Amino acid sequence: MDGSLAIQATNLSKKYRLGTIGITSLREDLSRWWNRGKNEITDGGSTQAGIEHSRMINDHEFWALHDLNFEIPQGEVVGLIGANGSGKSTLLKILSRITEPSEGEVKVRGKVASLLEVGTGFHPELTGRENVYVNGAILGMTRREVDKKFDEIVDFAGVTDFIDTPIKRYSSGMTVRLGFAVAAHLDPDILIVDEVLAVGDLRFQNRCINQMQKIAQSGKTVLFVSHQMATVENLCKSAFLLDRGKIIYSGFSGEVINEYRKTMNESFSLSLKERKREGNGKCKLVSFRITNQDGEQVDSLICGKPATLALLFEVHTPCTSALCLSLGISTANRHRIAHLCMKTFGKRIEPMEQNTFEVFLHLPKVELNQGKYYVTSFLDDESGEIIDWVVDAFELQILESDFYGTGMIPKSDQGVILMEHSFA
Amino acid sequence: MLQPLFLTVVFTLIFGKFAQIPTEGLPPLLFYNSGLIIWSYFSSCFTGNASVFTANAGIYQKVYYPRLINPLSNCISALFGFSIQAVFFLGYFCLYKFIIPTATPFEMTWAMLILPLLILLVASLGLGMGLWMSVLTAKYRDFNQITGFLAQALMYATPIIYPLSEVPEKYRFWASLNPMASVVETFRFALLGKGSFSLNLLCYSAIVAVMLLLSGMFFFKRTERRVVDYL
Repeated sequence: MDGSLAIQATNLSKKYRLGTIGITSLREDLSRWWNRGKNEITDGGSTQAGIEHSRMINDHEFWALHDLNFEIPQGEVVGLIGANGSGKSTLLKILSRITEPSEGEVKVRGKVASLLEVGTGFHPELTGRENVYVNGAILGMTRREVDKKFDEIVDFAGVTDFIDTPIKRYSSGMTVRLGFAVAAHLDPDILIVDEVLAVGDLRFQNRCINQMQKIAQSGKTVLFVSHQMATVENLCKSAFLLDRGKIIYSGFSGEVINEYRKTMNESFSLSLKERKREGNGKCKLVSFRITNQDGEQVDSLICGKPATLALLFEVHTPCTSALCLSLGISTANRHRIAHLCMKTFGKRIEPMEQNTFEVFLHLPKVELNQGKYYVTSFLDDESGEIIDWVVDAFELQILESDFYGTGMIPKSDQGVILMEHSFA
Repeated sequence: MLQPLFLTVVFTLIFGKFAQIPTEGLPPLLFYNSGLIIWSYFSSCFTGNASVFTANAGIYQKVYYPRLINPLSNCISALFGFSIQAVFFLGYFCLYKFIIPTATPFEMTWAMLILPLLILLVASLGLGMGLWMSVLTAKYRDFNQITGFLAQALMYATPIIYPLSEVPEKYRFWASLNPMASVVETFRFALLGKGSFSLNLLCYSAIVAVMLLLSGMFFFKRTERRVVDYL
C-alpha cells in the first residue's frame, strides 16, 4: 500500500443472509440436515420486499456491499453519504474491524477509533467519572491518556457538577454528551464517526462540529457519515456516495452532494401535475414560469434583478370561496428561509369560472445569493381547508451577479441572503 | 461467592453425615471446602466464559477490541472470589488445627509451592473449555442449556465429595482421565496433606489444558471475525 494512504479497499464485498438460516440452534440444523433433499426448506421466502433484484445473490443472501474499490489518503476528511440501507454502516463496521468482509480486502494504516454509537459500554450504576475511564478503555485509550484529558472531557460535556453521580441519574442528553466528549478526545490516526451528531442540542452539535474540525485540521484521517448535507459540506473535503451497496460517485464533497440530491430528487423529473401532494384536489398546480423585467421567459433568476414568477393552476372542481396562496422558499439543504403569503397583503384569489388560473409573484429585487432553492406551494381556502400543497414543488436557479454594484460578486458559499448595507 | 461455602455445608450434611462417604479421616468441612474452592474457580472460568459472545453482543457490534480480553478478564476477576474463599478456608483450617481436636492430623505440604502453577492450570482448563463453549453458544443458542449441565456432571466426576482413593480400582483409570481429578487431588494434598500427588497425572492435565486452550483460542479468534453478523 502506498505510504500516503490511510485506507485502501480492493474488491470489498459483504454478503448478508436474510431470514434466520444458520443462526439458530443445533436442533434446527440437525433437523434441516435430516430433512435435506426431502423438501427444501424455504426460509424467509423468495420474494424479498425492499431489496433490489440486483443486490440479491440467491433466495436468501444479498450484497450489503458489492465490489468496492477506493483509497483514502492520510489526513483527509471524507464524508460518506447515501440513502438508508445503502451500506454506509456496514462499510464503517468493516473499516473499524467489527466484522470482516466476505470478499476482497481492506488495508488500514494506523490506529483506528470508531464511534458508531455514543457511550458504548456505559454502565448505569457507575459514576460519570468511572464511565469516562471505562468508555475510554473500550475505545482504546490508556488510563494515563484519560487522566491527562479528564478535565477537558468533563468540561466539554458540561457535566462537571454531576461527574460523581451515577450515569443512571443523568438526563439522556448528558449521557450522550459525555459519551461524545470521551470519543472526541481520542487520539487515533483514523477516526470513524457514524451519524452521532444528530443528538444533543444545537449548541452541543456546533461544539461537536468544531471539535471534528479541530481533529481534521490536526492531520488525522476522518471518515464521517451523516445525513446532514450542510455538515458534510462544511467538514469534508471529499465524499463518497453509496447507493445500494456500491460507490456510485466520489469526488469533492460539493459535487458528490449535488449528485446525491439528484438521485434523491428523482421525483423532480415527474411533471408538476403528477407530483405527490396533499389537499382536496379541487385545484392543482400544474406549471410555473419565470419572466425577467423585460417580460421575456427565462430559466433562472439573477441576484439583484427583478423577476416575476407565474404559477398556473388547473381547476378540477370550481371553488365557492376565495383562495389564498403562500410560497415557502428553502435552501438546497431544506432550510426554510422565506415565507411569501397573499394574506400578508390582504390579497386573495376570487372564485372564478375558468378551468385554469394563474397567480403572479413579483419580486422587485431578488435578494438571494446564487444557488439552488426550492419552492413549496400551499393553496388553501378561506375556511383553512388545504386545496393543494406540494412540498418542494419546483427548483429555482439563481445566478450570480454584481448585487452590490461594487464589482465584487458574492460567492456561493458566502451566505444565502444578500442585503443592502453600508459600513461607516 | 458464597456458593462454595453454602455447598460445603450441604455436602457436609448430606454426604458426610447421612451418606457417610469417607473423607480420608479429615473433618468433612475441610475436605469438601478444599475441593470446592478450587472447583468453583474452574467453574467460574468455564461457565463465565461460555456465553461471552452473547453477553457482550451489544459492545461487540459497536466497537472493536481484541475480544479475548473479555474471557481473560473473567478469569482474572474470578481470582478475587477464589482468594476470598481461600481466606475462609484458612479460617476453618486454623479452627480444626488449633481449637477443635481431630482424629487424624493434617498439615500443609511442600506441594503448596506449586500452588500458583496449579491455579494457572485450573485457569487454563476453565478458559479453554469456556472458549470452546463460547464458540458453540455463539453459533447454536441451545448450547447455553448444556453449559450448566456439563459443569454439574463434571463436578460429580471430579473427586470433590469423595477421595480418588475411594474409587474402585477398575474405574480409577477412567476417573483419572478427567483432567480436573488430579488437580483437585493435588490441591488437597497441598493444603491438607491428604489426597494424592501424581506428577504423571498432573502432566497429563497440563497437556490437556494446553491443547484445550490453544484450540479454544484458535476457534475463538476465528469466530470473533464475523460473529457480529449472526449474534
